[in-house]
Amino acid sequence: MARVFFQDVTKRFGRVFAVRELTLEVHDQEFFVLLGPSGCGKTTALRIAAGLEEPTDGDIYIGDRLVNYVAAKDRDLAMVFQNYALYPHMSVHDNVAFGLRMRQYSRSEIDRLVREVAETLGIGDLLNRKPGQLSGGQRQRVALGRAMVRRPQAFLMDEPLSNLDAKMRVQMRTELVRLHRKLGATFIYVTHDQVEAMTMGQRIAVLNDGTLQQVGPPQEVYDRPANRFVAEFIGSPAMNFLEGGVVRENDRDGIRTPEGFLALPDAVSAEIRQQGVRSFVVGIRPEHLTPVAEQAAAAFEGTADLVESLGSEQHVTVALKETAIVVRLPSSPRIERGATLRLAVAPEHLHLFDAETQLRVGP
Amino acid sequence: MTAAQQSSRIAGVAQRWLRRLPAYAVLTFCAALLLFPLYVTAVYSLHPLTEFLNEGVPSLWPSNPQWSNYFKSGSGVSNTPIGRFLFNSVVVAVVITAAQLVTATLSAYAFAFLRFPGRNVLFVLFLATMMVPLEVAIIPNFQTIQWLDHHFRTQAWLSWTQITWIDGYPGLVAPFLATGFGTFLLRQAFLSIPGELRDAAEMDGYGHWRFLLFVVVPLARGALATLAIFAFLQAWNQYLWPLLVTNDPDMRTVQIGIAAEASDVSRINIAFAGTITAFLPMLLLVVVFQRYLVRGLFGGSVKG
Repeated sequence: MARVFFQDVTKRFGRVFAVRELTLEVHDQEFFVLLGPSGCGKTTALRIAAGLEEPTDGDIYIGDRLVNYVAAKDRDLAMVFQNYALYPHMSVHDNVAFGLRMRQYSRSEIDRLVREVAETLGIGDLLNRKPGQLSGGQRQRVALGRAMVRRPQAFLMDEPLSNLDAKMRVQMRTELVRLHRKLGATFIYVTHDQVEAMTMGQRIAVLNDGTLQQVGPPQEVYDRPANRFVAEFIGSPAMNFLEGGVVRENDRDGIRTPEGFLALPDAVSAEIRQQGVRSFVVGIRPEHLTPVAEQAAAAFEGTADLVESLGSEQHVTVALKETAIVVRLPSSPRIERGATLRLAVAPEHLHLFDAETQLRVGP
Repeated sequence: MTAAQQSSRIAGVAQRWLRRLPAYAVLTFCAALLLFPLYVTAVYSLHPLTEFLNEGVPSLWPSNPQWSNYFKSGSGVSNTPIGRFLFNSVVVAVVITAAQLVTATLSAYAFAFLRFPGRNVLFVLFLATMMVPLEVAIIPNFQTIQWLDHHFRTQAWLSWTQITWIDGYPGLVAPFLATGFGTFLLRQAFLSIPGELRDAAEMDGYGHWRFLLFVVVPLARGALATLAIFAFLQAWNQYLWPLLVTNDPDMRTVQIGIAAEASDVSRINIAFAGTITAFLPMLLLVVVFQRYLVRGLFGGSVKG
């Protein structure tokens, strides 16, 4: 069992809270991603699990064992670091074997284990090289090998792909997912990259300012962000936000924003009445805005201010009366700068947040 | 290649040399200026004594080299051979160097890798010792050694150790076993070792001692070599301190021995020979390790 459980974990450095009352359960054999902007406390949380930092308050369990006072080396975890943390003066073989040397393995056994791991990762022919002679991707594999060779219960990964170039990163992403399936170990993966989180994580936890914002499967977090921060952080281009209040127009409940009227689904309006919230922030994902021909159907009208063509699609920044929103459209027909766009959005695609608490309102 | 091409190539090379000429002229002049005293010493060390007793300045060319000067070297007063002085210097320099490597490594590790209250204040205090010149500390140091010497001679529970501080190696090396400079130099080198390596080693089950031994020391060997050379050079070239704590000619270091020799006019040429003898080990050391000298001093700033 390698469930990792944070119970009310707080970490303070002086007067600064790095992690605040974090309660989180990572299931056995799960690929779990801690996601957040830099400085959100995700790395600190990982280091607390690893035993490299002591929590100021709260408990850490690995399996069912309370490990607050267990040394890092006795927690049966392995860590992969952002800068690989390979020992520059040792060969690849010795780097991978380094952890085994302390664990009373015989020489031949160490050799066998190192070779086995090297074969799995495709670095068998690099064993005699020094880290300085390797490419970034190869170094990353060596760092993985060093973690794997001890067969730990859980792998802790601290932004392991952020130093790789874009192409290598995509390749390593799939390799890591495959590796996770093969090893059947628990992975806790820290990243600030939402694409990594979305593509790799079975569940993700979003952190901000040391506080947990939301936990869930990637699609659920994307579809139903728990608050405005999560809504804004996940998704690229980012979600558009407009402020407004609830009104009743033409027998329909909706939000009146400075840019236009947005009708709400009946289920939502019922819930809003119940909760009594008056002012809202409405979130709309760029892909949920669709161009329409007639003015009556459109929620917004504006002019295309900036067109970014990505080949497969185009991102159009549309200047409205007071603000601008980003729309994600198919690459054809091509939108010209200055063109007038009428945009509609289906009521079920509106995300409503309480303007005061920033929390999600409605289903 | 046509003749025209070839001649233009030659012209290009000549032009390049011509452009460098002024720089080389200046460098040559500076080198000559620096090497001149050394040259004079070498020439004088080969002169017969009569050359110095004649009127006028001794010749700057060894017209009648006396290689035997090098074998006569030794204190004119006590007839101690220069070999003994050299031996003393080697013992003192080696002990000081080894001790500084150990003490500086340990203190630098603490400053670089451990978190403890008062770390920065303590480090500044270490740095402050670098501002105190040897001459300022020499009286209190001498009093300490004298006090130790007195107690080791008179107290029964100490005297069995037979340690002599005045006129003994302990007194010669004691004040130089640990230095702020060494701590500073190695701390800077250790700080360039990524903290993640420490974390990785900790996950692998390596404690501070093993991490220091297997990772930090191998990675900082350039800085360690630099410190070793500096410590050795400094110990070897010491003058004031050994003069103060030794009276017995047998315990003198080579610099004191030569000075004693030079004070006897009838052995002046032999003193010059002794100077060259004392200089050779240093020359060898610097030639062999000069890359560490430069690299070590700039190791923190220029990463390569």
